[in-house]
Amino acid sequence: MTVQRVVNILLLGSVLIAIWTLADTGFFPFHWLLAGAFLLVISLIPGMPKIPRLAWTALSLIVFMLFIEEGLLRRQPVMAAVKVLIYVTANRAFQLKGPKAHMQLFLSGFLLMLAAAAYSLTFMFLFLFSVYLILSASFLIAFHFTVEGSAGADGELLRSVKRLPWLRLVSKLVSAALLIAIPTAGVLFYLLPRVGLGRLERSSADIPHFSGFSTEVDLDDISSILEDRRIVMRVKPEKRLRWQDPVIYLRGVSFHTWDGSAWARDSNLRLVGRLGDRQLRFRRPARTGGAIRFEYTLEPVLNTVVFTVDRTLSFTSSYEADVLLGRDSSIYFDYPPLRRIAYESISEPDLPADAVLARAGDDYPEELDRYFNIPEQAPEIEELALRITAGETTAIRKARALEKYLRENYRYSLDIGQQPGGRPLHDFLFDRRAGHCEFFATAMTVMLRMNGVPSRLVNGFATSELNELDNYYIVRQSTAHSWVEAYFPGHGWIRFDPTPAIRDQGAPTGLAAVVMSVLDAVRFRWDRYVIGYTLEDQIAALRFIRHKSREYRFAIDRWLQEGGSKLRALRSRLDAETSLAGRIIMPVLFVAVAASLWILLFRKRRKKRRATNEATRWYLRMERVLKARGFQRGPSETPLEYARRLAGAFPLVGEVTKLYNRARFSGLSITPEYRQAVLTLIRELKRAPGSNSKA
Amino acid sequence: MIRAILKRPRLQFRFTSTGKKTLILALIVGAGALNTGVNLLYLVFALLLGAIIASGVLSGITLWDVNATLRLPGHVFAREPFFGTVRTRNLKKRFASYSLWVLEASHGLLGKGAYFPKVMSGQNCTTEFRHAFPRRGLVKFDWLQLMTRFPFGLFEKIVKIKADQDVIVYPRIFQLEKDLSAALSGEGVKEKLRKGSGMDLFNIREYLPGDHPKHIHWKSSAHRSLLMVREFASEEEAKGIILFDNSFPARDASSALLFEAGVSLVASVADNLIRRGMQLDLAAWGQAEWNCSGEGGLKRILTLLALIKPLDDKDLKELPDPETMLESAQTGGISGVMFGFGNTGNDGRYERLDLGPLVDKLNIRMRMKQ
Repeated sequence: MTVQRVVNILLLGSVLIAIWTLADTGFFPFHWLLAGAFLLVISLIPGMPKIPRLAWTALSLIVFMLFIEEGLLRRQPVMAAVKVLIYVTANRAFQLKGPKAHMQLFLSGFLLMLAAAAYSLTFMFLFLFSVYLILSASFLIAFHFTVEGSAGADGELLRSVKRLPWLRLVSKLVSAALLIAIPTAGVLFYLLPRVGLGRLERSSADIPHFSGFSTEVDLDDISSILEDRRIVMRVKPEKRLRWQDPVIYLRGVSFHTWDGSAWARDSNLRLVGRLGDRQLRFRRPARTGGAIRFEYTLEPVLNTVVFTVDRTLSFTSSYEADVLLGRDSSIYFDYPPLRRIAYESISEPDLPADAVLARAGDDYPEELDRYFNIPEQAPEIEELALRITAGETTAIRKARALEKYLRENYRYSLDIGQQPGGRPLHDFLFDRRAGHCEFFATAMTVMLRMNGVPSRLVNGFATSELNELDNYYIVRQSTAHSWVEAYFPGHGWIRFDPTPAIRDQGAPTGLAAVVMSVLDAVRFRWDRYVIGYTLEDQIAALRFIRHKSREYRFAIDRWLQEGGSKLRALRSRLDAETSLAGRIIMPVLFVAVAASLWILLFRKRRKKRRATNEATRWYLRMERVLKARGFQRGPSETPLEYARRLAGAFPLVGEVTKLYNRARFSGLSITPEYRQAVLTLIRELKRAPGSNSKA
Repeated sequence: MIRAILKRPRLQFRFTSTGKKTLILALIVGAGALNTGVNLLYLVFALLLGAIIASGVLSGITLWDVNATLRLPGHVFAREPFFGTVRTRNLKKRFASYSLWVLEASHGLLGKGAYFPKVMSGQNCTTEFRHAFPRRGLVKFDWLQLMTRFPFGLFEKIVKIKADQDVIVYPRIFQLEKDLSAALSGEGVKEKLRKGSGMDLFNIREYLPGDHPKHIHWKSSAHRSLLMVREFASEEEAKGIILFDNSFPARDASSALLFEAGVSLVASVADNLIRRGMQLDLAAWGQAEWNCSGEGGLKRILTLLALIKPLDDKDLKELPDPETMLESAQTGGISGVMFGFGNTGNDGRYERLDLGPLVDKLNIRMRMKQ
């Protein structure tokens, strides 16, 4: 395969990857991209018939008309520009002759990749972009050699260029280039200020999104959501949680009114403030003192509910939206986040101990009346509720008894089918004895109310899927969950989960689980630190650096102070314990040890240099005397050649040169014979009659 | 290391057109990133800047600790192509140098440059080039330039390397068919039974440094496993003198051309005469070469002619007159030929030397006297 062909393949490969990346965004018409890729591939096939110029002209005209129609009339300039780029790419690929055409094709590939970068949100971009980088760098380096190494008008490559080991050379140079470029780019990426002028900010309405979480509970049709394993969000606690319970609960909305088949929630919301540049604090007294910061990365969703680890004390995000608060402590955005957003909360996930809650009493405020509401006249259920809690005197013990009873006597199932009669809770408790989390939560809430404990049903997510590599929780659609909150005076709403633990059927196991875990950790970091990197992150990083530098500075100051005081103490001890002679001897000893070390380390080198210098000095002395007699050494004449030239007139020069060479290049000390020979020669020369003739 | 950095020759740096376009593209991407706030555009922007920086670092490594030397032939004639070599040496211990150009800017010796795709660490690479100097004279090569556009062709980095090399370009030699020595001395050359520069074999002896390789006697060398050279019998050397009247105010381009043609003609005649076995003296205003015979003598004459300059009238006051020299030479019985421009030798003492149409073409008046 010729070098030129390798260059062409690398170039077309990089352009194909750019097209693939563009297709991966899902924003651009697939048939255009496919056609572009197809044309690129067939342009590589040797012996392909040339497309006539007239055909290209006609095609150019059609594409131009399409551009006008789509870009100007339908006002989709980006889409139109991408189509034109694909056409230009195919055109250049078919007329790939000469360096200019190569660079034009590379540029159009780069612009396609740029369009993909502007619209991509997927993790796949990382992989494709990496491949693109390698191919592009390989092409550019190989192309550089072919351009520089071509001779003559026909661009024939020099033989020395043709003979290069291309595969090894290009891979080595690409590695070197990327080894410098990627870390540099990494530093620049994180330093470039994210000021976000936002004049041409992308319309978020085009971004794919999904919904899954429901703000309604009617004990029907939850299966489709629960089986969906797509990731909704990732939650990273600032430190590893050390809970007994491995499940993390992300609270969404709560429901207060049960009508026998469905729950209703509050629609009265209060504006708390606007996000974007400040932290919103909720006026809630700290309960256990174990407040932790959580970072959330939420995928695009179609509802406005904010999921946070309960109990939320404050909330912050760069997402510019109004935050609304329901009477039930649920948090809402004013508008659904149709792009991936990140937010943080400071939450207090720990619950008070049962013994503490047992002392809470039953002095419930009046506004909780609606949480006692039981519209359905169901004596069997009430009888069951009272039977389960018989003998229990405190609210917490009643709640724990109900929770335990439901967990132990009922089975989790998504396969509930349609039950006639419109009494889903009755069917669950007495007939079917199996159901999903909403049945369990509804049953416990209703039975708590029957026992005189104010309670409500909560919808959100509960997950135990911890990515051990990066210490974050993965929240999937399938982990949507319902649980119960009961009110304890002085402590607020406390969480109970009566649903028996179930094993995630779709979760991978073994090596696949490890691989998935690694991949998801990379994806999480990509989303968090590349796609979702913001000005706030930069400020936080700068604060962190400032904080750390202060810490180190204080540590150094402290260390110096301690060292200084130790030295002072040592000195006063010496003053007290040693005599004047001792105080003089100590520094002298110190200097002597340092000097000995210095000599040991550098003696050999110095000795060699000294020997060399002395040998040269003596030789130069001889040379000066000979020059004065008219026998100058030529600028390109070596000492041996010089000695050979003078062998007839001054045989001693040969002897001196031999000794000089030995001393000069062996690094050994010069011998007394050498010195003597030079001195004898100088004496001889001085005695000899003056001569200016050349030897 | 510090000394090496301090001594490092200053780099010249300039963006190529590709580099300028890349920089503009990077700035556009940067502006787009700033405007849209899309992090992946920031990433592409950062990578473009990273590539530019990587390009700078790699090209810097390529030029670091590399030197270049020229090797030119011992003698060169004007307008006559010759082959020389340029050698690069990578003195780095670890890194190879890639895509290296050696340029010679002052005389265009290397054309667009000598290209070395790869020079391994601690190794030399040599390439040959062909060149012809347009005119005679002393050509000094003070500097060579090492240039690279490696690895992406974004910019050119140039470092100057001291060359310190001179070449004396001899005047152009015409082929003169006629044996001028016979015309000058009136008789041919006589062979003598002693060592000399004649045509007949005199002896075969061991090779000594300085002997011309073309005189090696290969048969006896092979026989004795020792390099042997031929010695030739001496011939009666006719003696002659060439006087070159270089008093010629070459003020404009055409007169300068005429002067150059004259120098070339003198060189051609000298070459012809010496190759025919004559011993020559060459005298011009203020400079002369005496007793020139054989290769060495011809070199001395050609060196003088390579460096000779036209003299103005005012320069001639303090210099010995070549015609006076000719007179004294003729009293010693030496034949002479005088070359001059314009009014040289109008007193009838010289006869015209028949050099055919060449002389007429050059409009040089030459006369000789025996």
